[in-house]
Amino acid sequence: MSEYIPTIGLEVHCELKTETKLFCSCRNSFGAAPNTNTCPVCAGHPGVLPVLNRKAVEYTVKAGCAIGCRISRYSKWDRKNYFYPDLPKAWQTSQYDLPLCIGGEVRITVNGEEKTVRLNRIHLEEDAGKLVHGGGSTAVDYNRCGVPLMECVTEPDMHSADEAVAFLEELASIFRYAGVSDCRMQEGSIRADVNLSLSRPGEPLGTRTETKNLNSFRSVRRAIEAEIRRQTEVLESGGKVVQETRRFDDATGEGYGMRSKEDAQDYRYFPEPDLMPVVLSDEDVERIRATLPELARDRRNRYVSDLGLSDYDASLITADPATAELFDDAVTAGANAKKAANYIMSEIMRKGKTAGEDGIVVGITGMQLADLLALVEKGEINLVSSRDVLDKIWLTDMTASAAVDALGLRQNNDAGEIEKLVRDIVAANPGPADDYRKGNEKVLSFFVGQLMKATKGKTNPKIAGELIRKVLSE
Amino acid sequence: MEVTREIIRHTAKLSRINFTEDEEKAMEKHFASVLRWTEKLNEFDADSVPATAHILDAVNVLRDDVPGVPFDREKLLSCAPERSEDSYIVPRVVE
Repeated sequence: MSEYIPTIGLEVHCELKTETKLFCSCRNSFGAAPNTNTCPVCAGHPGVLPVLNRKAVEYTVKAGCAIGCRISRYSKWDRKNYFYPDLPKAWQTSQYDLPLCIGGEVRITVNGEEKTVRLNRIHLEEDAGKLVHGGGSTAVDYNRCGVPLMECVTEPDMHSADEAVAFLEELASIFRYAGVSDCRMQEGSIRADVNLSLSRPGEPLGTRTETKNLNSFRSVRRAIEAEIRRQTEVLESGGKVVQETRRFDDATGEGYGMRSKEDAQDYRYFPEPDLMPVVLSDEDVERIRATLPELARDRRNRYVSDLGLSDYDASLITADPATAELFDDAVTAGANAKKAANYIMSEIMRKGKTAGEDGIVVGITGMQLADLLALVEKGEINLVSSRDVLDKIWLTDMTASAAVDALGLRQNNDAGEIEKLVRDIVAANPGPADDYRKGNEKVLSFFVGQLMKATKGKTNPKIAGELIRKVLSE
Repeated sequence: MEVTREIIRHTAKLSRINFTEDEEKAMEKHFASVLRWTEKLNEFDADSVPATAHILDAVNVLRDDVPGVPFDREKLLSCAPERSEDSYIVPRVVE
């Protein structure tokens, strides 16, 4: 029923890409053997003392600057108490009433319309360990335990799954550009909780439910759609929505409530006595703010208005900071913007995309790309052989020109020499030549193919086409 | 604040403590006297005193983001009541 309006707020958790954990010097890295990145501090042994990671504070402040938060000059740490085996201390060190960042907003575009999603806060906390449920027991891996995690809490400003997903995509892009988080869904480095209620226009907000721990944009969308359907059905049949914490099962596409009474949380927050407050000066904040690069949205606008790219192309290029960097560097090095964009969207993205990974590996510099495009432009190589050049210079510092020579790819632009070859090929293939003269244009590609074969692809295709037509028409 | 049996049970549950009937009764009394004692604090007018987050003056105790020498996993796992080759083993928890 369309008469209900959904109201959605998100809590988004992003792991920071620091070298070490939040309160100890264990490595923060994904995919290590279980429990190899642990120590008495993050394994929660008694008597240990946590020491705060400076970088984690800087990254959170940087993230806050990127979305216009007020940065707290004084923030502190609190214990959030609960018993669960993923948390060996039985409390999570977090920030309760004095978080590092307050407010802020993210602009999103949905169906061509711009809107703003306000943030309530960003606080810094430690991630929990990973549980692997098997037969009759559960195995615990504390490698992730203590990894710095930013929790970004929005205001209830979204009203559809599209808006929520657009917000998440934009937030992930901002954090990737700011260089504070990889926001890799597959590795669980960005996760979201969805708060959702329904109400009729003009009426106060309905009772909300919270669906926890959604770890892909797709499951955020599906969970929201399923919850809107469920709450609508409850209300339509005269029932009441119960405030509860829910889970979403990706396999069945259904949400289900957790035993709400049993699991009702009572976190008993209190100040963490083992950690000192963080005090930041105006200079500290400005120094961190100054390290922010130009963000995706600003780049997108600049590519469209200053460099003449289409909205679509600008979005594709800026989807990953690595391709946007490459594009900017190539243009600075003299490449034509549209040609550089096309080449990045076709060849670089094809080559740089690794199966199962979110990001793109860019194996060449802007200078190398500009050089490569100039060679194509001048007709010294064609687009097909440019792939071989790309393979050769990928992840090396070799110039494209050097690679062309090393591969012996320099294209033959000598019309006299090519014409002689064309004549030989036409003479050797009288049948197809006759077909062409009878009006079968398709045969042309056969001759181009023969010529390329004879010259190992080193013929300028434009000149080749012209000469074949000329010789066949004689 | 009145200490009810309900509050005792709830607090005990959050603390993962099992009380017998007699212990609950005794705790009800004991808890009430502790609370009465702390209520003395309410007599103090704290409006003019700035909130204190920490009793020490130190702030910004920070370390650089540099990995330390890895800790021996075996040493940590050997403290666990139950373990496998590479992990801690706990009773199966299902949400």
